[in-house]
Amino acid sequence: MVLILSLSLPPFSVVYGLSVSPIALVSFAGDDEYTPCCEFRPNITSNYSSFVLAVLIIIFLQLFFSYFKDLVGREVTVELKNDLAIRGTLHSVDQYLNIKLENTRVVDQDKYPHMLSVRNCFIRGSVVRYVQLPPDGVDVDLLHDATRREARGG
Amino acid sequence: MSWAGPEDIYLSTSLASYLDKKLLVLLRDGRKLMGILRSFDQFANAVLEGACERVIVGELYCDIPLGLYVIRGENVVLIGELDLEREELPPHMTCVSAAEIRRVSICSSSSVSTCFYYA
Repeated sequence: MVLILSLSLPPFSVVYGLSVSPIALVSFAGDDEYTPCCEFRPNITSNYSSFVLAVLIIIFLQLFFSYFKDLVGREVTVELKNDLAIRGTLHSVDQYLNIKLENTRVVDQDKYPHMLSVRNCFIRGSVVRYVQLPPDGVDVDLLHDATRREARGG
Repeated sequence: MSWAGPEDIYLSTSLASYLDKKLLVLLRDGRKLMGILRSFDQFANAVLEGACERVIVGELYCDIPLGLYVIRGENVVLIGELDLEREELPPHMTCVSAAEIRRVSICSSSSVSTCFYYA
């Protein structure tokens, strides 16, 4: 994966006096393949901390992907950035956190008449604001342990 | 989106199960496109055949034919499979001509400002 290769090059970036912006790295992982994957700023001192931050972000991306994979088959409500909220059964999720829902119905149906006959849909991960889960759908302790393990680098 | 094997299309988030089906595509700018999905890729770029834009203003709607469309994936909000057995729109909505819907949308946008914020 190109993303990991660029992270393994911190010695190079130190030599050339460059540092890689972690935010730009994250956007490479999910969103638009055609934007430049790295933003170079002449700042040597923050190089190591931004590298660590980038690694942590990537680890958490995998954590939530695994978490959503366990939620497949549960009833969720996905709220999008354009305020559309869709309730449905989680069919599948992928590494970009794109979501496929089945048996969908829109929360405020009258406001979105065009969605009346849509029963299955694919939602691009980049447009999701919230994924609302049933209260018994979250084993909070398990999630805490997994997060602590990931943060420790396990 | 991942490239799935032939046995995985029913389990994965691949758009392969939507191929050759009539879909509703919601775009980031609020447009609603409808058409038959002919092609897709890992960025959710899509090729829609026989695409038409469904413009809805209040109780009025109009389908404007567009032809063959290639949609860049970053603009896609949602791709929904239209259930042919169900009504696509509520029965109280009336279909009008393109000129009429344009006139109504200009009138309504000048009086009510709709703010469509996408982060």
